[in-house]
Amino acid sequence: MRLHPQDIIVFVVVAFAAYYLIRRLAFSAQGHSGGACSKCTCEDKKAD
Amino acid sequence: MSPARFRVALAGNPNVGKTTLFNALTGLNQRTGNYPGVTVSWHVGQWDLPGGGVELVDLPGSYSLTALSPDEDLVQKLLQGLEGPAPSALLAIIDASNPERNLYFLSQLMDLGLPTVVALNMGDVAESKGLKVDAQALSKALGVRVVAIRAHKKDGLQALAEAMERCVGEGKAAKGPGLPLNGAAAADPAVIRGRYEWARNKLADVITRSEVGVRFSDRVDKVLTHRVWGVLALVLVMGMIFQSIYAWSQPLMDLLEAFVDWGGKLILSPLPAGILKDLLSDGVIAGVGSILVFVPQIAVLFFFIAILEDCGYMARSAFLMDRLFAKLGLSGRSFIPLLSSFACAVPGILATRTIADRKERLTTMLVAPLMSCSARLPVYTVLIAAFLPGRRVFGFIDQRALVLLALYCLGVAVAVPVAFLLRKYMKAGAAPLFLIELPGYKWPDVHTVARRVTEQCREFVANAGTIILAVAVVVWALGAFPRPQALFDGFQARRQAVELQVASAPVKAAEGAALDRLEQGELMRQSWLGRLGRTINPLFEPLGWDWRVTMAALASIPAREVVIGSMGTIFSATGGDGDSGGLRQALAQARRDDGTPVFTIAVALSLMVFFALCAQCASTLAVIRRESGHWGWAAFTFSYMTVLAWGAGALVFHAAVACGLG
Repeated sequence: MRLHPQDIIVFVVVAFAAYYLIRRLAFSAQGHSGGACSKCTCEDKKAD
Repeated sequence: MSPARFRVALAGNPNVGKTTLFNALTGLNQRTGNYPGVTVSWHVGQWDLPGGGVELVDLPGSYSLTALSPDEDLVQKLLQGLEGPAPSALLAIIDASNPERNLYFLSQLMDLGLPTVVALNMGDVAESKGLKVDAQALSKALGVRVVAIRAHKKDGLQALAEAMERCVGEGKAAKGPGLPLNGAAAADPAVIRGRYEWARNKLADVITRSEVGVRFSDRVDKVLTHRVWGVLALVLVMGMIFQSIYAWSQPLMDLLEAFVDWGGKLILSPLPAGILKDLLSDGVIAGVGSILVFVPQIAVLFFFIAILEDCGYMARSAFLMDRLFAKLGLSGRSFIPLLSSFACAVPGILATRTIADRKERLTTMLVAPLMSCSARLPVYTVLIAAFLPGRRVFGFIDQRALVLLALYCLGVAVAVPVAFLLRKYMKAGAAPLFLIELPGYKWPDVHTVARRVTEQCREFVANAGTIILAVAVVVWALGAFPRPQALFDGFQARRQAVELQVASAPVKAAEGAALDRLEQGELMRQSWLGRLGRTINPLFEPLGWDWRVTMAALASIPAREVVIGSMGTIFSATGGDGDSGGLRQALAQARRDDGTPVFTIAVALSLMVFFALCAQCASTLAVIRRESGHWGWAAFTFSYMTVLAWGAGALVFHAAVACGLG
């Protein structure tokens, strides 16, 4: 099967989205709110 | 910015204007509110004194250095240099309308022996109570510099900076009553009496009192803290807020819908048909666009929350709830964290740091996520708008606003027995005594309200552009792959057959569109998402859900509002145009394999109830873990809330079907 440039763009976008999600969840697993809330504590913001 | 020369700690009782002063001195925007316990952590900013910048640390409010709650413990550690470098000087802020109690804490601060400047705030409030505190006389009595300020008006800040500059230049240590500061001796009744005695002596020639009539605040409080009228007023206020969420935000939402639709067409029209166009239309635009249209509702909700916080009503509602909470073994002290959780559970859980009793704190933390946070609002409103008629009750109350109010009340109603059971399980005793200082009413500050609304809208949009976008793209990919060639060939053959057999152009177009939808549906069914969804779906069939609803709900584990983006992606891929109006239509038109509608009123209700009670928020679970110090409590919260949400969802679905709403 021949790869089209569109396929490569889509692959990169999806891979980046998946990487971002995993990174975000891993950050939560360390006990940080992940900057999900503007009212998080100072130490959280620093960690972000 | 030049490096800070030294560190100054800003300390005082709760709700005396510390953070307002901190923001005014440093130009930062830390959150303020007219009730105790808003600041539970410390913030650092640079304060520019005439001789150069210094580091100013805003501490949580505290009544004493004898730590009871985690936030007071933090104050003690920071002041004594046990957490971070010890401060070189102190800026103590005191409330002129309550000088004796404020001087009790000041006596402890002065016993630390640091160069100290006192900021005398709220002189205007004191005068309305018939009190006048002479700053010069107080300065003479205490032996430290005292500067009268009005933090919210930024009055007296220059004089304060000059006083601090001179104070640190001299390096003269403050001298308090010299009573014990640490250990059991500090809490000895004789020591406490000694500190109050010292405060009274210092104030003896400083205060002048005059007679004032019954104050406006006291007159209003007679109604708002009344056990019947007060509760009625609270329900009325909440009802008005929900009514306004619909009435005020709809025109702006329609405008945003049209904008998203227009923007989508602008981006998509030059693109050739293909996988990239599908990703943009079904993944990005349908996912992110469907959630962005809710920004006006978030703005309206936080507009009211900010007004209630700033005018002083929050403390009254905590006082009202104390009676109810005491029956469950909780105190009104738990109410403020729970009330904050209506905006977002993360600050709500952080606010439990003001609770001294460990078991009460843990119970509050574990039920806080049951309060309907702003992330649930889009889920409720999209389903209510799609499936519930906007009829009027008593001619003026919007039925949809009533359902919304009921969903918010559901969280509280469920939290009550859960808290009761948790307290029983933890073998906790009776509710500790709750004391709260009711701040005077004041007109909400326009800047504070505007800042809170903008902050929340910005955060909502940032979430849409990050986590919601990422989930929408991943959900789209799971729903779009694999792409079996045989399936495309089969549909191509059917299209050719229609082309040959049907003569009428409109019929041909209609058949072609129907085939496109069928092809998209089949592609989704055969995709990884479809296979996974149909495997898991038997678990959620008791709630009346189709596999697509199940997948959208499961994809929202990182954050609840993601479900809207995921539904936008999943249902627009199988019909509909992706924006919220389109999403509502797509949801209403979605069909199961047997041709019956995916969504009925019963399914919509079960989905809303599920989302009212589930724990789909990674940030909340992370904060529970950090604040409780154990992953076990986060896992417990996720498990009990999921079981509760599933059970209540199934119950509501079957009850609604029995009532003929299925």
